[in-house]
Amino acid sequence: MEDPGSPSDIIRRMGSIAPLTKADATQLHQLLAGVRAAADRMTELAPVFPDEIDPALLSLTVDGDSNVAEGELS
Amino acid sequence: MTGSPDAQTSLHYLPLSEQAKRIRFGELSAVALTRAYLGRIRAHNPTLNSFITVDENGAVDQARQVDDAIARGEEVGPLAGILIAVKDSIPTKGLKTTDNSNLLADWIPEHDAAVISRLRQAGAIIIGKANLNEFGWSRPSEADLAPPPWNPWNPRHASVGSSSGSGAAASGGLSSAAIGTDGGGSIRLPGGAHGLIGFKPTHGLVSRHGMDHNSHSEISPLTRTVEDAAMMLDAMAGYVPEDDMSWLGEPVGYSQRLTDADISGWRIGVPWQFICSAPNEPEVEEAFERFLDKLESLGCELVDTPVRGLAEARMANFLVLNAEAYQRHAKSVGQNWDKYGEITRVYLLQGAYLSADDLLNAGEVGRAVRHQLETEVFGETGVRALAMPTSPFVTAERSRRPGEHSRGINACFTAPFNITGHPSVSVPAGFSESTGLPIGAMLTSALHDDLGLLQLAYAHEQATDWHLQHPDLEA
Repeated sequence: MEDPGSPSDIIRRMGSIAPLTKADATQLHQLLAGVRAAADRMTELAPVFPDEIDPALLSLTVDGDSNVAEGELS
Repeated sequence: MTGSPDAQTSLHYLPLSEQAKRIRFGELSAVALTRAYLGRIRAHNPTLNSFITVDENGAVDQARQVDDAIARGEEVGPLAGILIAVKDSIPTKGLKTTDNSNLLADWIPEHDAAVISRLRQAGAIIIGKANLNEFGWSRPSEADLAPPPWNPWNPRHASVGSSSGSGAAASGGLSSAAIGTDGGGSIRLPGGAHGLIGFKPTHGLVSRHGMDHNSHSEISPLTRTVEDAAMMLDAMAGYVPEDDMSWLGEPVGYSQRLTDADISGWRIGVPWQFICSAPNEPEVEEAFERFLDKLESLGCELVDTPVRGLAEARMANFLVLNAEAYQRHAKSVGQNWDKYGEITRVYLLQGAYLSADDLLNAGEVGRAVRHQLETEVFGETGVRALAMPTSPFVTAERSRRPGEHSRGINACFTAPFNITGHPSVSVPAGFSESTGLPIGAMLTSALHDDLGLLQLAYAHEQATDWHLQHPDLEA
C-alpha cells in the first residue's frame, strides 16, 4: 500500500476523486493508518515463491502480536 | 429489563416455528398476526427506528392470500404467514431499498434478490425494510437518511449494527424474524447485543445473487430461537446457478434434525490466549464463563485450543471489505459527494490506497487461516466447535470508541470467520446488570457443518432460559 502521506497529501491525491475538506482528510488519514498497518502485515506474511505462508508467523493475540515463544503456549 | 409475563407469552414474541404451526392448522390467522406486528411497529418504531420502510398494505394483502389458501385446503410453504424484516441493503421487488443512504432514497428495485425469492416461495411475508448503517459500513449518524435504531432492551443505548434495525425488529417483537448481512460480524454482533440467534452460514450456502458483490458477507437470519434460525436457513439456503459463489450441495433439512445429535462428548475448543488478549469488559467475561460452564454441564469437553492468525484474518477481511466498498462507490462518491453521509464517504475512500498486491495478499492470509482451522482445529484435534465471546463489549457506544473501531476490535472475534467462510453463530449467554442489555457467546464450526452448529446451539438453548426473556416495551 502506498504511503498516503499527510492530510494535505491526501487532499491532493484524492482531489480527482472527491472534494475532501481538511476535516475529511484528517479523518481519512487516521483511518488509513489502520489500513496501512494491516496491509503491511499481509506483505510481511507473503511468502517467497514457491513457499506458502508460514503458519508459525501468524499471531495468537487480538493485536496480532506474534512475539510469543512456542514454549509459553499451553 | 426482562419482560413482564405478558411479554413472555404475547403473540408477537412467539417463536416463528409456533406462529407458522398455528397458521398452518388454522389456529391463527395470518392477517391477525400481520396486524399485530403492524400495530407494534406503529407504536414503537417512532422511538426504536427499526424500520425505514413498512409495507402495510402489501403485508396485509399477502397475509390474506395465505389465509385464503389455507381456507381452500391448499398446501402452503413452511413459512406461510411469517413476517420478516429485511435489511434495507437487500433488494426487494417493488419495495423501496435505500441502504439507508440519501443516494438511494427513492430506489425501487425491479427484482428480488435470490434470497427474497426463496423466502417468498416458502410463504414468508416481507413486512418492511430494516434500518442499518449507511451501506452497511462506517458508523451510524443522526444525519443518515434514517436516524440510528435503538436497542429495545434499553432504548437509551444504540442498536449494534450494521444489521441494527433487523436486530431491533426481531428482539422488540416487531417481526417474526429478520434477515441481514454479516461481512465482519454484522449479524452475530447485533445477535449478541439483542439476545437473538445470529447465524452466519458457511460461505456460499445462502446466495447473495441479486445484491451487490461482497466476497465474504453472508445473508443471514436473526431469530429468537435456534429452531427459528434453522427454519429460516431451510428456506434461504440453496444453489443459485447465476452466482459463482453459490454452493452446489443440497441443504440438509436443518429444522428437522436439530435433535438428531447427542452433543455430550463433543470437544469445544477455547482459544484462551486470543480471547484473553482482547479488551473484554468484565460482564462479557462473566457471561462467557457461565456459557462454558453450561456447555460442560451438557457433557462437552472444553479444550484450550490455540488458533493462529485470527488477528491477521480480521485484518485481511477488513482489507477486502475496504477494497470492495471503494470499488463499488469509486465513481459515484465523487459525483454524489453531498448525498453520502459525512462519515460513510470517508470510510468508503479507505480502499483507494490499496493495491492489487494488498488484496491478493489478504486472500492468501485468509486461505492460510482457513486451512489451519480445517486441518488442525476441526481436523487433527477433533474440535467440533470453537467457543468465544461474540464481542468484547456490551454496548454499541463502547464498541464504537475511535481508534478501536477503525481497527475492527469490536469485531475481533467475529470478522476472522468471514474471510475463512466458516459457519458461526451468536447465542444468548446472559445480561449486563449495569445496562440490562443482552450478552452473546459465539460458536464456530467446520466448513459446511452448519447442521452440527445448529444442533450444538439448540442443545445449549434447551438448557437455558435466555431465549424466553424479551424486552417489555410497554413498561
